[in-house]
Amino acid sequence: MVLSFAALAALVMALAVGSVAIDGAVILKALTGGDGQTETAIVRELRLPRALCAFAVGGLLALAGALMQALLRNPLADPYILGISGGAAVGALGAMLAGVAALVTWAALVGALVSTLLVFVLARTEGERAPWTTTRLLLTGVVVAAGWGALIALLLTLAPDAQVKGMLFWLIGDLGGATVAMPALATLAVALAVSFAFARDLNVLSRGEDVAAALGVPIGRTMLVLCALAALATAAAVTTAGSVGFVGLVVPHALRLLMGNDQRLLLPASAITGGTLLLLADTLARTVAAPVQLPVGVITALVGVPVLLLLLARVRS
Amino acid sequence: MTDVPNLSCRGLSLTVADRTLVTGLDFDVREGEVWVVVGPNGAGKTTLVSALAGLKAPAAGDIRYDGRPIASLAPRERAKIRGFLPQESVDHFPATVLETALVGRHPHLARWQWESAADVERARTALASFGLAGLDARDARTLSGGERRRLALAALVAQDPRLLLLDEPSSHLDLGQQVAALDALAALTQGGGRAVVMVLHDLHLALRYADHAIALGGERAIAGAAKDVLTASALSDVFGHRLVAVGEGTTRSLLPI
Repeated sequence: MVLSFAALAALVMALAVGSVAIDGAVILKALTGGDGQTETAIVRELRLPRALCAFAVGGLLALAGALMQALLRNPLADPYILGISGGAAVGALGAMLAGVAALVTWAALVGALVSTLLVFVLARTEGERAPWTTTRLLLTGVVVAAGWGALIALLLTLAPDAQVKGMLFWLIGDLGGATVAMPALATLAVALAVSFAFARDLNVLSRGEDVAAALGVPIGRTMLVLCALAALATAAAVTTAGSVGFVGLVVPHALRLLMGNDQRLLLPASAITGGTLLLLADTLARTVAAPVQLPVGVITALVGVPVLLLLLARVRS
Repeated sequence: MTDVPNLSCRGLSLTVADRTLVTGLDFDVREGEVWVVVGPNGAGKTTLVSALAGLKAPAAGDIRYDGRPIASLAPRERAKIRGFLPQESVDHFPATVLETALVGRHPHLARWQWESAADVERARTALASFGLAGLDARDARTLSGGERRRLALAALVAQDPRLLLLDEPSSHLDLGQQVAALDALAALTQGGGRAVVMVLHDLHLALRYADHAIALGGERAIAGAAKDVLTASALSDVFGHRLVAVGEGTTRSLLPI
C-alpha cells in the first residue's frame, strides 16, 4: 500500500517537473481530457508516455532481477546476468550502424531473444531433475555476455563518430526516445501475474532442489517458465529504454533485506519499487542538468553503486 | 493394520555410474513400522531412499505407495503421501524458522492459496516436538547445525506424510538430541497410519529404533525383521569388518573389533 502511494506521488511529480513547471490542477485537467493548451499537451503527449515508460521499465527490470535471483539462488544475479542485455545491445547497435533507425527496437528484441535461447541451449545438460543447473546457466551466461561485449566494442569502433553518442546513450539506458508505454506496461502486468502464480514454488526452491522436488515442485518446468518470463520482461525493458543498470540488481536485494524473502510479497514489491525508482531517476535525469538531458542509466548507476556497496558491507558483517 | 502396505518394493535394482549397488530387492513397509537402512559408505543408502521417494529413477523395479505405482502419481500427489529429508539442507536466502517449517505445507496448498491458521498451528506443533518452540521469528541461518537439522525434521513433520523417508536424520545432532529426535519420529508411527524408513550410521541407534532393517553392502542387500538383519554375523559381512554385539536393552550395540 505504502509502495503504491509512493508510486503515485512519483508519477505526479514526474508530470509536474520540467522545463515548464505545471501545477496539479492543470495535470488533472490534462489527464481527464485536455483542452488543447500547450501545458496539457506537454503532460499528455510528452511527460505521461515517458513517465509510464519509466515506471514500466523499472518495474520489469526489478521483477526480472527478483526472478533471476530466486531462480539462480544467487542474491547477486540481475536481469542481465544471462547476457540478455548484451544480445539486445548488439541488435540495437547493429541496426543503428546499418542506418535503419526504425528497426532498432525490433533488432534489440531479436537480439535479446537470440541471446536467451543461445544460453539455454548451450547450458543444457542431462540433469537428474531439470535439464539446467544454476551453475552451468550462470557460467554460460557470463561467457555469452563476454562475447556480446566484444561485439559491442567492435560495433562502437566501426561506427562513425556521429553515431557513437546515440549508441552510448542506448548502452547506458535512456528514456529520451521512449514514447510508447503500452507494450512494456502490458508485459509488466502479464509477467507479474504469471510469476505471482509461481511465487510459493520459488519459496520452496530457496530451500534447495532436493527439498523442492520432494515437496512436489516440478523444477524443470518452473525454471523454464520463469526464466523465459524474466527474459521476456528484460527484453521488453531494454527495447524500451536500452540497458538501464542496477535497478534489477539493487531493488530486489534491498527489499529482501527489508521485508524477507517471501516471494509472494517480494515480487510485487520489487515491481512497484523498481518502477517508482526509475521514474524518480528519470525525472532527475531530465531536470538536474537541464537543458541537457542525462541518460537515466547514469543516475541509476550513480545511485546504485553506493547503495549496492552499502548492502554488501552489511551482508559481510 | 490394513492389507495394503504404505510402501512396497519389488525387484528393485539400483546403479550409480554403471556400478551396480542393489539387485532384485523386495520388501513391504506397513503402517506403524520403523525401517532402518544401514551399510558402509557408498553402498547405496542415499540412492535407495531417493529412489523410494521417487526422486531418482531406479535401474529396474516397481515401487508403490498404498498399492499405487509411483509413476502414476503426480509429483504433488506423491508429496502428500511421502516426505523426504535430504542428507543436507541448504538455505539460499534468509527465512524465519516458522517460514521454513511452513514450507512443508506446500503440497497441501492450492496455487493461489496462503497458509491458514491451521497450517501455522501444525508447523508450530512440529517445531515444538523437536525442541524449537519460541524460535518462530529467528533467521534460520543463525541457528546451530543441530538446530537446523531439527528444523528440517520439523518441516518434514509439518508436511504430515504417511511415509517418512529420511537420509541420516540424526546427523549434526548431539547424543541427547539424537535420541529425542528419533523418539519423536518413532512416536509418529504410533497411530495415524504412518511408517518411517531412515538411513542411520550409528548401529546402536539402528538397534534401538528399528523393527525392520535393510542392510546394503558388497552389491548385496538383505531386508527383513531387525532381529534377523541387524546381527553381528550378517553385518560383519555387509561392512567387511568383524563386529561383536555388546550391551543389552537400550544400550545394545554392535562394535567393530
